[in-house]
Amino acid sequence: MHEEILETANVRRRGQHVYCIGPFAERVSFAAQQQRALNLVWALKQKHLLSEGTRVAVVGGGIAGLTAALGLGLVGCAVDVFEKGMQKMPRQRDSEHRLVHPTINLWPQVELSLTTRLPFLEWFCSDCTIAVGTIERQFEKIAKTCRIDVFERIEVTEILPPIRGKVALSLQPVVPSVPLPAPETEYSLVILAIGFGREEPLPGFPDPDYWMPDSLEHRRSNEVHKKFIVSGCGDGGLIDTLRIVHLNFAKGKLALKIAAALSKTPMAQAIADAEMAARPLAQATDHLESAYEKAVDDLVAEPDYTGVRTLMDESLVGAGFEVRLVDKKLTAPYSRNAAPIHKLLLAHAKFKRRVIFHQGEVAHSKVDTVVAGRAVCPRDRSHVIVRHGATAQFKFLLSDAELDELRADQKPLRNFHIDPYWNPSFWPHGRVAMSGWPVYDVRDATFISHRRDIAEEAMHEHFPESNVSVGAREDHFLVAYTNLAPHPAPAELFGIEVRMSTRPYRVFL
Amino acid sequence: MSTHQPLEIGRRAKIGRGVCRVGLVVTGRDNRMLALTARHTLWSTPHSSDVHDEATGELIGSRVDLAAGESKRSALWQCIGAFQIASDFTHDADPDPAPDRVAAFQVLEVRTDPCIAGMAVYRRSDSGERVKAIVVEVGGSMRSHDPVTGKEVVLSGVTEIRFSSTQGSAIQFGDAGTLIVDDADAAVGLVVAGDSEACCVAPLSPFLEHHGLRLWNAHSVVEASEPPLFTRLLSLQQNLYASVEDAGYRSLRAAEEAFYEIGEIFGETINRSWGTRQW
Repeated sequence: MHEEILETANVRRRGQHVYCIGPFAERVSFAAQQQRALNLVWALKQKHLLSEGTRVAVVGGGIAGLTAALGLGLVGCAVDVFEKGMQKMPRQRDSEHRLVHPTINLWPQVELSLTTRLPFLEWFCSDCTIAVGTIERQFEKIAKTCRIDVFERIEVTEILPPIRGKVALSLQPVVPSVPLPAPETEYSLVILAIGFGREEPLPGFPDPDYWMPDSLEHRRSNEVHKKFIVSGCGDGGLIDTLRIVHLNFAKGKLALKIAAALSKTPMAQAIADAEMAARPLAQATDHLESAYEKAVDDLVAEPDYTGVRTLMDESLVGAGFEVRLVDKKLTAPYSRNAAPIHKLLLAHAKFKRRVIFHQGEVAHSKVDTVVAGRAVCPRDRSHVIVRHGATAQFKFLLSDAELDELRADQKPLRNFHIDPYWNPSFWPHGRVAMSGWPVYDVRDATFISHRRDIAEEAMHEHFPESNVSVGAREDHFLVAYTNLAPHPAPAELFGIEVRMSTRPYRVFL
Repeated sequence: MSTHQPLEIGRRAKIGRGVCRVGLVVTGRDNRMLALTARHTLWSTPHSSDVHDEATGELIGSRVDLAAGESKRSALWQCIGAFQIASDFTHDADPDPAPDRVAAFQVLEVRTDPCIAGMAVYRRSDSGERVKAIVVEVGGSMRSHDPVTGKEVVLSGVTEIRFSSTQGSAIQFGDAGTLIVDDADAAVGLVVAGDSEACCVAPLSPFLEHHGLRLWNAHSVVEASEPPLFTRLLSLQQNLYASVEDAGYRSLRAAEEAFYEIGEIFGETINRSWGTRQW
């Protein structure tokens, strides 16, 4: 398997020196990028390209870059991480308006799980800012025990051709007086981890960065005279559309509630089947459209779904309010790349006529109007959100031909190939244990103990009204609570069994 | 044989209607010498109440309040209380004690790593023997009540340990505050609640760090409570000065260079002329 992973990541024209972590894969998410990063480290090690002291450069200090760097550091490599932003994970750091979830994008093919299941850099479903903080704290702690240097505010502008099996980088400080690595540092390997690129703005429209805090909900309430137009039917476009038409979307918690309620129902199975069947089809959108419209029909007709339907209906904005959703390529707003739960919510909103879809583009016309597909709106009465997807920032680093090859090579990644190929015991026990994050074993007391704090944070996040504490025992977590919130407690956290205790009672001496 | 410990670890103290054990002796930022114990045993008494030796009735110290600045969310820290050891109190701890006294025992460090379920921890019996217990749960919680006021409290973040029932080592009334140590005799925490073999232990490290406390006989316990940099450098200088004397003044230059190097490690520039003048 390691050969396949390396083939999908290798920039072949650079020999065995340059690799790229899944930027052209479908459903790129935090957890998926982390697994791809760990798979890559494992595969490089299996191929005997990594050994103690191997010098590796990681370009990009985002989630994938940090995970790869830590994996490399833990197998003994000397790692330099280059991040052109001011801090690690700069773009997601302030995204308090976004919720991140380990598996929501893959539901219903993959069960919902509040937490990741990784050997390190774990996080739980929460506001993006909280997840970033959790990941960063762990990185800082473990990186101290490895040979990892993070160079912030430094842009890698060129990967120089390899000489005698080593690659040098051309580095450009973003601000003067930033310390650089020793001059003429050469690397055996370079890993490009710049998957979450910045979205290209559409000329004449506001900055569309997905991660930058915005005030969509506030605008919906206060700019009632405006028309909302969303361009792009990827996951970002659907999420922002749902944020506008659902009063209780709560960053995505509504989607989580509905997915949880539908899990193990015939509808969830039907959606999973439809998604799998649509994968190889050229006309996948048509197939998905009929599947999601059927799901909404069932939602309306079947008494079994009354609870879910009520939840969705009650959250919708009042009749008469509508969002125009447009997409240049798709004939219906059901992209293969978007998360099924968001497509289901969108199909429901479309059925209720809160969303009107047109195939077409968003553009300014000459007479001060905005054209969105077939709709024409006055420019000053339109609020346009552009979600055309991120473009990885490769322009200086790889040629067009290399990018085309990489796109073709990463085709296998389009089929949910984000499974962890690394054996849990792959991470060197001694080194990981030294850093306080022992080998992955969900029944190991040390492993459980080191995840206790994050598990408790996760429980506080999801049961804010309850007095919850998480105790680490030899082979499970014991969650003690006084008044648990209505939704069910998780059966596991980080893959570790959770047992509940209602009366944590002891007698004082 | 006597030790210089200001108060035996494990001595039973009486305050108001409560009885507790001295868990650990620490000093604060203001150099007050404090004995730590289970806080709930102090609840029933007003601030500055006298604390007496349970066996002899002699005055040991007076209750102090360390709650200032504690987060209300962190109920864990409400587990540990303190009384100030009277300035005129002296004693010689006996390593071979009479039946009603405790054996001399010193703790030289505090465990900062979290405990792991399944690991062995110990308490000292009055005769000085190590009594083994197993950590059952880390970060557990307990709901309990003040025995005097009946007030209910939920404490989280405690470590649950369990002694073997065959050893006759059950924790009994009056054992609140008992010090628990690890394999290396590093202080783990204080027993704050329990029922026979099972006890809840409040970890010491976060408490000491939060309040800037350190072991009375240690240079420092945790980073946050380290003395100021100037004090540390002065101490290093004195050590080096002693070394120079030992080595005969031929090593003066080498010692001086070492001094500057250490100063650089601490990240502060040391005035070279000041250093030379001292020597």
